[in-house]
Amino acid sequence: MKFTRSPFFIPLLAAAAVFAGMLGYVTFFQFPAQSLKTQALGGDFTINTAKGPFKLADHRNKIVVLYFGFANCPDVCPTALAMTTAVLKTLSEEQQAQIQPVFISVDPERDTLDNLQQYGQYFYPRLISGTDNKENIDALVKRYGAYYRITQQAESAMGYTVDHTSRLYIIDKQGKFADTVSHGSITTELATKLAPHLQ
Amino acid sequence: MRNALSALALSLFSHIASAELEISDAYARATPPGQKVSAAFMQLHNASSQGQTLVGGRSDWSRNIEVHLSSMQDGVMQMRKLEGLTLPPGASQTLAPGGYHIMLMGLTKALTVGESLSLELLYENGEIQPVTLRVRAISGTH
Repeated sequence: MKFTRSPFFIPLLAAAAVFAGMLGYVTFFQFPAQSLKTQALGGDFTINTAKGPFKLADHRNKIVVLYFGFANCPDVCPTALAMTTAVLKTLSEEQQAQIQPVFISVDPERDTLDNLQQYGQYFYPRLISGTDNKENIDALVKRYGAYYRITQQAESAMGYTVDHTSRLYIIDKQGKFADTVSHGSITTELATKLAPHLQ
Repeated sequence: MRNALSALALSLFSHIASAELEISDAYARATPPGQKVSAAFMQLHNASSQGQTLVGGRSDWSRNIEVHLSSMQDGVMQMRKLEGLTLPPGASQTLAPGGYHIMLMGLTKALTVGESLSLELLYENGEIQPVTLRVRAISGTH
């Protein structure tokens, strides 16, 4: 059979090339972004606390509720922690026992482990508070899709402040990243988002 | 005559005082153990005929007192010192969690629920206004 070139061959070839290019773009740029969102975020970690290391892997049968902040924060962090613990206190004792809230300071320079321990206890007896060296904190923050930056405040007695995302990360009983709750939705959404993971 | 002068001085003084802001529901957040910072919140109203600019404060129990603004920028919470918070004549402003607050730094004592603390607010024009802050528990709403 002899191959004959149809008059549509060149435009067809061009269209196919454009389509392949689009497919390639979607595959290489969009799909990985989606999979990052649903699969790659989260994972095991260890931080230091005044009572020894906290290892996520040791809490497989607990729902872990994670928050990144810093203790020198007078406004946003205490509000987030107060809202979170107020929601937890509305649950039954049996349900609360299934939940491990964790406060991680992204300011290890100012927040000592003892301070963090006392700080956390003030909000909720079960709250575990800790931090780690900057390198580990940076890696952890990145893996959970959080963000922070140290901002110098020369004109303020603060010296520097920490800009940060204020959000809760829900990790299920299998240790998998399950959901997030934004700062403004803690009061209205946290209980609903915890419910499917509770027994 | 002396009484008349006193009365005049008093009326002048109260006139100056009324040029300041009307302040209501002023409170500070209780501090968790070891925490050296806190924030004060209140309702402000400028009933005077001129703009009023709050620049900070002073007290004997907090080394530094500044006017700060917390805000959410692209999903990131940030807090900045303000040069001043200006209320035009007739304006009201609520200082509340997540927005404007009086930042208390270098606390020399723990702030415990129920106690009352005195603070002097400082204005750009040099005026000073005493305020009593009630210490409240940290909650999700105030």
